[in-house]
Amino acid sequence: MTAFALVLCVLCQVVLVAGQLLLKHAMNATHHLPRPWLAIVGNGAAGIGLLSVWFFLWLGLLRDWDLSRLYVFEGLGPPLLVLGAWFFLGERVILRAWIGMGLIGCGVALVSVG
Amino acid sequence: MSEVVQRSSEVSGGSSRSSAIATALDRLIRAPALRGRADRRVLPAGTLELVGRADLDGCEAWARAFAGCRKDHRYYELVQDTIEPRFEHLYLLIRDERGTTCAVQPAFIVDQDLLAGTGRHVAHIAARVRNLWPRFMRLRTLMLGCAAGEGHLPGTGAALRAASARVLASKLAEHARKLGVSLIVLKEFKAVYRDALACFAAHGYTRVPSMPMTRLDIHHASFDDYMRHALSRSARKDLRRKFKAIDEVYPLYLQVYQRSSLRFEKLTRQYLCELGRRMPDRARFFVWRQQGRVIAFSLCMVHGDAIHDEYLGLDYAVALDLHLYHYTFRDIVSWAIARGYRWYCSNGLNYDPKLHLRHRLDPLDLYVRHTPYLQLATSVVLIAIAEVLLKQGAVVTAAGEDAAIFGTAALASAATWAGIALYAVSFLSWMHVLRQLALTEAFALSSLTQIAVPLAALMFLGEVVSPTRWAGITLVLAGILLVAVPAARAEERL
Repeated sequence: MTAFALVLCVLCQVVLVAGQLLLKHAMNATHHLPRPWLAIVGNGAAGIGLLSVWFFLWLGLLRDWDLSRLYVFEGLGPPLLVLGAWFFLGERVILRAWIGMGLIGCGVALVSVG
Repeated sequence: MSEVVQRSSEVSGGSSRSSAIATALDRLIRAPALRGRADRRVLPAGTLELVGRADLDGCEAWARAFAGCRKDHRYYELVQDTIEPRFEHLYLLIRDERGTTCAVQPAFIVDQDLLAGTGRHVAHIAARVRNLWPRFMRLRTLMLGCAAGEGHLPGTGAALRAASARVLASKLAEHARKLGVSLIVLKEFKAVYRDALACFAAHGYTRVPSMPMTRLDIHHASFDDYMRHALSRSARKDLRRKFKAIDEVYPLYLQVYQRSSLRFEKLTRQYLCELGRRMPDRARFFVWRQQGRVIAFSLCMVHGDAIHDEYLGLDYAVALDLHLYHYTFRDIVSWAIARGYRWYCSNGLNYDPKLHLRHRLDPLDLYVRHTPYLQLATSVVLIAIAEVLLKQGAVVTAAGEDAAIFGTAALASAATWAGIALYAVSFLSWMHVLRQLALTEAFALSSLTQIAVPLAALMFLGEVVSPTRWAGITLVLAGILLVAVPAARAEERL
C-alpha cells in the first residue's frame, strides 16, 4: 500500500468521525427549546458535507484497493474518539484504551504492509 | 412430550372449582395495574407460567380456553399429537395474583428459517453462507398461537382476553429468555384482536401483516344464485366453461404441499384420521372421484354460520386440465348453502382465483419481538453487503477516473446506489439497536463487521485474504474490544 493511500485512509476515518459527531450535535440541538437553528443547520450541513467527503474518498479508495484491506481502517474510529476526548476535553486515557489503540495500530500496520 | 423448561406446581382442576375460577377471572380483569390508563411499566398483577401438556389434565381453564372458536382445545392437542415437524409445544398458564389459573395460551417453539420463501438467488447465496455458518438466518422462535391455523386469545369474554394479553405482553419476554429463543411471534391473530393486543407495542413488539385469509358471503339460495348475483358475466362464463371439463386422500394433500413454495406445518395421515375421530362435530371431509379413483379432497371445519376450507388435496395429473379447484369450491359452497351457512372462509395463498370469485380478504396479524442482538447482526450483515456493492460500483466505473482521489464516477453504477440504500437501512437498524443496548456493548459488538466484511469480500468478490491480513484483522478486532468502552464514553461526551 502506498504512503499516499495510507494517508488517505487515515484522513477518511478522521473525516468520518468528525462528520458523525457534527451530525450528532445537530440532532441533539433539536431537543432544546427554543431551537438553536443556527447550530442545527450549521452542524447538520457541516456533518453532511464531511460525510459526503468521506463517502467519495472511500469510493476512490475502493476503486484501487481490496475491500478486505481497506475495511481494517474502519477500526481507527474508536481510537479517534478516545484521542478526540483527550485532545479537546482533556480527558485522561486509561491504560486499557492505550493497549487497545496499540493493538489496532499494529493490526492496521500489518494489513498495510501485508 | 415436548420438553418444557418450567413445570406447573399447581393446575386447577375439578368442576367444583368453577366459582373460584370465576372469582379469579374477576380479580385478574379488575387488577389495578390492568385497568384503563395504568402505567405500562407497572407489571400486571397476573403471572405467567410455562407448563407441558400433561400438566393440563383436569384444567378447567384449558377445557374452555377456545370454547367459542371452531378450533377449540381438542384441536391444539390434535396438532401436538400429529403434525410434522414436531414442534416443541408448551402452554402458558395465565394466573391471577392468588395463583388461580384464569386462562391458558398455547405456544410452540420452532427453528425458523428466516429466508424461507425467498427467491432461488437468495437461497443460493444463503446456502453458501450456511456452509460456513449453519445457523445463518435461522432463529429459535417462540410462537404464540396454533401451529396449524390462525391464533386466538384464550377466554370467552373480551375483558378476560384483554387481561390475558396484558399479562402475556409483560411477562412473555422473560420466559422467552429462559427458553433461549431469539424471536417471539404472535402467529396470525385476526384483526378483531387488535385492541386487545395493542398493549404488546409498549413491550417492543411490532405488528406486521401476515398473509390474509379470505371470506366469501354465501348467503344465497344456491350456487347458481351466488354466481348470478356475485360474479360478473365473464366470470360466470369462465366458471361454467371449467365445469364442462370433468384410501388415497393423503398423497393428494402431499402433492399440493410439495408444489407450494411457502411451507410451514405438514399434515400427517394420523392428523386426518384423528381430526374426524376427535372433532366429529366440526370436521367435514369432501372427496371427489373419477371412475372410482380419488382425485381431490377437502378438509373443512364448520363453526357457527361459517364453513372453513382448511386443507385441499389435488391429483395434479388431472387437476389443472379438469379445473378441479373450481369444482371443489362449487361443491363445498353448494353443500354449505344447502345447510344454511352464511360464510365460506379459506386460508391464505392462491389469492388470484379467490379474488375473482369475490372473496374478501380477512386480515391476520403477526406480532413480532426480537432480541437486539438479532438487530445488531442484521446491521452487520447489511454493512457487509453494502460494502461489497460499493466496491463493485467503484470497480465497474474505474475506467472513467484513473487518478482521481474522489470516486464520484461510481455514482453511475446501480450497485453503488444499492450500497447506499443498504447503508441507510443499516443506519436505521443501528438506531434501533441503540434503543435497547448500552452504547458500550453495541460499540464492541459492532466490531464484528471487521470479520464480516473481509468474509464477504472473500466470498463475493473473490479477494485473497492472506494470513498476514487475517492476523492484522484479528489484532484490530481485539483492540476494538478493549477500546470500545472508553470510546463509547468519549462519543457520548464529545
